[in-house]
Amino acid sequence: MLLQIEDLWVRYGGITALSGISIDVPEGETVLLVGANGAGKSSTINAIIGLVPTAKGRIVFGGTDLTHIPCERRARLGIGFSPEGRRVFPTMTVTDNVLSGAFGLGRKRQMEALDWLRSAFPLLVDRATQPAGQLSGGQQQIVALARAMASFPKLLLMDEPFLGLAPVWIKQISDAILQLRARGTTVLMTEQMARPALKLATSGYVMRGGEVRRSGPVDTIRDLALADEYL
Amino acid sequence: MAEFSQAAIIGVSLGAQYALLALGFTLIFGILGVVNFAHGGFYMLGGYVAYSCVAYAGLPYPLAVLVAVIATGALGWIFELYLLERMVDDHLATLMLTLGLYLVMSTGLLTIFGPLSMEFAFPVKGAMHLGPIYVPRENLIVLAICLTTIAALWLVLYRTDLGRGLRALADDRAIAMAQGLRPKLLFPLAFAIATALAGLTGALVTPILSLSPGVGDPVLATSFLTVILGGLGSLEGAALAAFVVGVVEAFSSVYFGGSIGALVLFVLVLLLLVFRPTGLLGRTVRGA
Amino acid sequence: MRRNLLGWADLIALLVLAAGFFVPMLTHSVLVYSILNQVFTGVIAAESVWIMLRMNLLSFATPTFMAIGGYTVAIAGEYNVTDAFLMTAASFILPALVAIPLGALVLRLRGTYFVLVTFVLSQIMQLVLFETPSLTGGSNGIAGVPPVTLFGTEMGTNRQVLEFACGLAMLATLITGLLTRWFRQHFAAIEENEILAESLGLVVWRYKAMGFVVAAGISGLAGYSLVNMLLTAHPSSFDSGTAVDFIAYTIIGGRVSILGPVLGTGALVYATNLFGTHGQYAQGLYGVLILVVVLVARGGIVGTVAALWRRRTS
Repeated sequence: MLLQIEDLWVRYGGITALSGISIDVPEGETVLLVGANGAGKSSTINAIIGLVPTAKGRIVFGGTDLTHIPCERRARLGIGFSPEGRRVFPTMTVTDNVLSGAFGLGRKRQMEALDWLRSAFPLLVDRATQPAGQLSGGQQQIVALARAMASFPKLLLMDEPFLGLAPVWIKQISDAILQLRARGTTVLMTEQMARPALKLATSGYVMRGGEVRRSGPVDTIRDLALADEYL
Repeated sequence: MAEFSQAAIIGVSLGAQYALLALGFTLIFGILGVVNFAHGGFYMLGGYVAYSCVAYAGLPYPLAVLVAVIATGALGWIFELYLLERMVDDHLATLMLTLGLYLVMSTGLLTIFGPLSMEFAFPVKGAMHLGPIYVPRENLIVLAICLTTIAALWLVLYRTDLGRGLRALADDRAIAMAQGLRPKLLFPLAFAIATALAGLTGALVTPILSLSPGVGDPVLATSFLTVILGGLGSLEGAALAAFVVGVVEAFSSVYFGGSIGALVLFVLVLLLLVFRPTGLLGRTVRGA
Repeated sequence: MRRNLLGWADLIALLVLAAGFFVPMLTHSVLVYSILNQVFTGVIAAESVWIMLRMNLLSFATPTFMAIGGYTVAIAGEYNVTDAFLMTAASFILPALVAIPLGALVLRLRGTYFVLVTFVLSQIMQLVLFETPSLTGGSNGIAGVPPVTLFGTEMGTNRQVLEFACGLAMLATLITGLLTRWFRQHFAAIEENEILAESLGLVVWRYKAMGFVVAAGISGLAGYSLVNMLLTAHPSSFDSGTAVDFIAYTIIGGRVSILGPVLGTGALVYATNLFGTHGQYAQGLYGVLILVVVLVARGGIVGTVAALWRRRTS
């Protein structure tokens, strides 16, 4: 198991965002967390990368307990992170955004990453010197994805990659994720839009109110996930 | 015409000095979110270290400048790492810490060197005559060094891994950390670079202007004007505004005399705040 | 909930200051009078810093508005206008009027701009004083300001000057107390979380501007007190460096209560006088104390004493 979450609790002030969820992400799979707004999907992702503290429970990544490891060191253990709302570095060029994901890896590895990602996403070549803040939402999502992948992570976390995107971009991002999946990247993604997301995942968790309602292979959760989509 | 060109040259050379100060100041604000009240103190310290190296240790001036750069950078690094870092997210606390440091620094310098101006002269004298225009050599040398330093800073920020890391932290600290950028390593470094720039400016400029324990305040005020004019946190804005400030100051002192220039600039800044609060090249930066 | 006009801290502050009226019964020492005059002026100035600090804003503008208040009194003195009530009102209202457009302009922006602009303002004021010799006497200032008259009586003796300074300090404390008590919840909300306060519908910049205008008026009173003590209005009295002193009094005294600026000013003015003729070194002490307060004793003198007291009694 690449990532194992056991009985994770997250609280913001007096509000409980996650009440004891357990999630397993096996190596090589694409796991989907699906649910309505406020179900606790983003809290899960932010707890894994360390942007919010865990109140209780354990997060084990590749045999290492992450609980007491600060945010900036978790990424270096091999976790790539594409945040909700993309959050590209707006004043930096597309190329610099991608390279910032490979900070401190050395010139050779950085160029390797850049070459690979540019061949996968031609947009990175076309817009190389444009500030990322000037791109459209879909283009920014590609940049955020490339930035997350630039350190060749073992696990890719994607928080709502389709959020606010036009269908044509959802298709493009989906293709990108499938491409990464084909390369053997393990992915944990969240999405409110269950329909396109279910096409990408191997297994999934349906979340409601900070708890896991159902989990299993994609086919076993499809009905509940789609029911939630129209809530 | 000669008067005009001369004012222009003085303006550009002042602008280059202000740019070094303002770039460091805005670098610290942009990356750490800290208003560095000790910036004028580091300028002063740079001047005094260079002076001491020349007057007491007998070092040649260029070497003295180098020592000043290293000393101010090292002090900045230590201050950030051991004091500022503890409360780097609290805007008011960091402001007061830098203010406290400034008071300690200026009183320390006052205690060691006394209240009078130092006899600290630039080693190169004389002037160049370009046709009717008369330009002091020292100004040209300082201008050349300032411009070279600005270019070097630009290269570091825009062409190296370190610069990318710093700019990423300035754009979005939380996300930058989640990408594996280490603020504990980069914040002290950014602070040290900025204070070293202030120290360099002090070491270069105080022999031409003056060196006494009171020179920090006006330097700080000019840096503030410059960064407001350029837009808080914007490097390009700070550089551009520095030259605007330098040129306005030079022309107003040649044509009007006295301190009208500073008043004009202040009114300019207030007007700018009415019509374009983000500064000349500023953008909306993060809150607080 | 019933709103009290004043809290117990305000009353204690007023009582502490009122003790100044009784000092002349105990001593006629010129040194004691001089220190107390400095304390009263300093308390007024520090209270103007404290008002802004209640909203997480650090103000360097105190000497600027002190200069406006002080020069108003000095210039009026040249026309033999010295009535205490009239000049108290004028030295409060004129700086407050100047603060209105400035506050509306700067306080809509982030707090950082406020700090930077007030600092630059304190530098600019010096230039204005030097550049307007016909009005302010330029670098010579205005000397020989006549003492204030109260109900037609000239308050010229050392004792009367002290009593007048004491009265002004109490007035400033009363105004500060009423303001911060009246807007207590608004100021607290802004201090706690400005963005949240804004999202709850509080027009934050208006309260900040209101505080700024009153703080400017109080600074003007400090300027009055200073000019009346020295009988001179001189640019060096309103030097931008003094802004740092008032900030130090407030932070070191403690920003949690109005007792902070009162006690902080008392302690630091006393300590500064211990330096004797080497007063310029006092700023180093202030610097060290500011570092200590920020790093280990966030509540300053008052906050630390209160915390110790609570620990002993619990």
